[in-house]
Amino acid sequence: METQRIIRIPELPDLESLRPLVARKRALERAFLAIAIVGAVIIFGILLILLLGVALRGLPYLTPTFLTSPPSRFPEKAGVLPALVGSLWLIVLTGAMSIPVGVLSAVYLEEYAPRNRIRRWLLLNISNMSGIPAIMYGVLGLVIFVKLMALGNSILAGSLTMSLLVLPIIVISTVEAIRLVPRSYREASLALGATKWQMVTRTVLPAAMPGIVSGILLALARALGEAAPLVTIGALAYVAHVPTSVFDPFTVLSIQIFGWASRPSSDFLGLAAAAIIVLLAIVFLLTIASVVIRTRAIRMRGGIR
Amino acid sequence: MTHMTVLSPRKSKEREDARSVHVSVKSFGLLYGSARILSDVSIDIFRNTVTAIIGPSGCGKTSLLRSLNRMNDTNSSVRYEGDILFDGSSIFAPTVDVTLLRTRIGMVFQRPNVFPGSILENVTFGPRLFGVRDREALYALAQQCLQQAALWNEVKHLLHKPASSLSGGQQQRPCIARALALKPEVLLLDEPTSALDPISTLRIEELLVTLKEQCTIVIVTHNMQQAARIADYTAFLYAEEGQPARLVEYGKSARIFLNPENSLTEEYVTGRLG
Repeated sequence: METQRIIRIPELPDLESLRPLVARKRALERAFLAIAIVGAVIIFGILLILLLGVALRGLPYLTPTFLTSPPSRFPEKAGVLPALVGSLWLIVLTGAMSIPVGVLSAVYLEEYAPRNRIRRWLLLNISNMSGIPAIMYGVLGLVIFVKLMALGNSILAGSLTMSLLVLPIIVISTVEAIRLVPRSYREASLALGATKWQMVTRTVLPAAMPGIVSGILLALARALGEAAPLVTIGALAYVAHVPTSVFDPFTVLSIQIFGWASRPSSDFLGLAAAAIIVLLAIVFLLTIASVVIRTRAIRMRGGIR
Repeated sequence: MTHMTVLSPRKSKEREDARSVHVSVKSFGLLYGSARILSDVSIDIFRNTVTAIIGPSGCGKTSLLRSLNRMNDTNSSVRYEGDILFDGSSIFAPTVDVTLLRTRIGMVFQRPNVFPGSILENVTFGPRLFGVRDREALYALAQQCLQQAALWNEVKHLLHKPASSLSGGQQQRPCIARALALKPEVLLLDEPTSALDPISTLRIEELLVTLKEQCTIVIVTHNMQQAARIADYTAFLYAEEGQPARLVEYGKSARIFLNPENSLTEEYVTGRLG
């Protein structure tokens, strides 16, 4: 015969005695919420002040002449065209060089490299490379591209230098995106007779595309904003002519902004603000393009967020 | 590709004989590093039958199944013993091209794993890997395979929609259709219904029974009723504590489930073991 177990239900403490405890918890929760809101307000506030300041100063100077003229010592005739074209050249060339190299390096590191100490060491160092001051890349570019390869202060030398600067960002974000692709995708691909390379290009990379695109956006936005490495390799603050080939001397928006902002006249500060608006507009367009690509990759093709 | 042999060519004479041996596992053993998972498994899998591999969790069913199309090759610490013959030739022979082997021995995994891309792209993935470009041919093939997978009527208007938009229960059938698109001679299924609801499970079981007309089917399952319902032959694997798994009994499903010779098998199929 089974002995009957007596199950004792623990008595709940009476509700009145719990009131102060509950009240303390509520107060604490409100305090944390308040801190979180203050944090968010500070971030948005700073962004708003920056944007408003730039817009108020810059919008009056943002005229058709501004977009279509070379810089000038007369503020009313000064424009941003050579810098704008220089920035576009730089971003296209930097992307064309750093994206294939970066993505393929990541594919090698994540899919092909043996899982050993050397690989770990490489990954660690690539991560650390994104912490090196940008000006160091300028020094490297000056020695290798400008002097050794005798490219001078050309767009090509600038883009090569920028590619070095943004490669770690692309490699690391691509490695992370590839790592998120489930093992089951790879196995299913192999089980259909895919070779490893087919598995990578047809299954892993499409699935990782949203993450890779985000990394590329970060990298290109960084390349657009940097001035220091380009100043180091000798990009000029005053370029009167629109560059027509990759071997031409050049300037970019960020250097132009720096040049104008360091002048005392308030007209030139306004011009700097107008150039900032142009730069922001390019970054904005890049962001929109990446959102479109990401959304397509996720919605239409089922890529991994 | 033309320089590589894919085992022996298909033998039409043998295909007519329903009882001929298609895949022969001979004294097969498997080790992960130094840990022995399987030892001395010998099974003859017959053409155009459904063969179920049953046994408790962790008894090496999946390892055995994944050996049949060399999916374990992706793990470099795996070593084999014995041999597996497919159409009479060893699948481990150095002349065997493993990607071509996998087109002849297809695989469906435990969890539905549709790729990024449309249903059409998913189903035609395999043929496209081998250079088939003709859109009409691919479409016709997709239709045929989706019909075989009993999914055509549900998805014929959704072929260009992402496969990931199908419901969880629907996603396993495009995976089967995707494997069928390469016209495999053997189809391996690793617990294909364990992540599915009962109705989806039933449809896949019905599907497998009809599919054995065109290919040999090997299925790993936890579900003994499933094995009894659809399998012509059943293999029972079992691992004693700390020992590698071994084949306890293999034979016609009716005999394994109703009249097992081994007492372990009897205990397992009646639910007293595992």
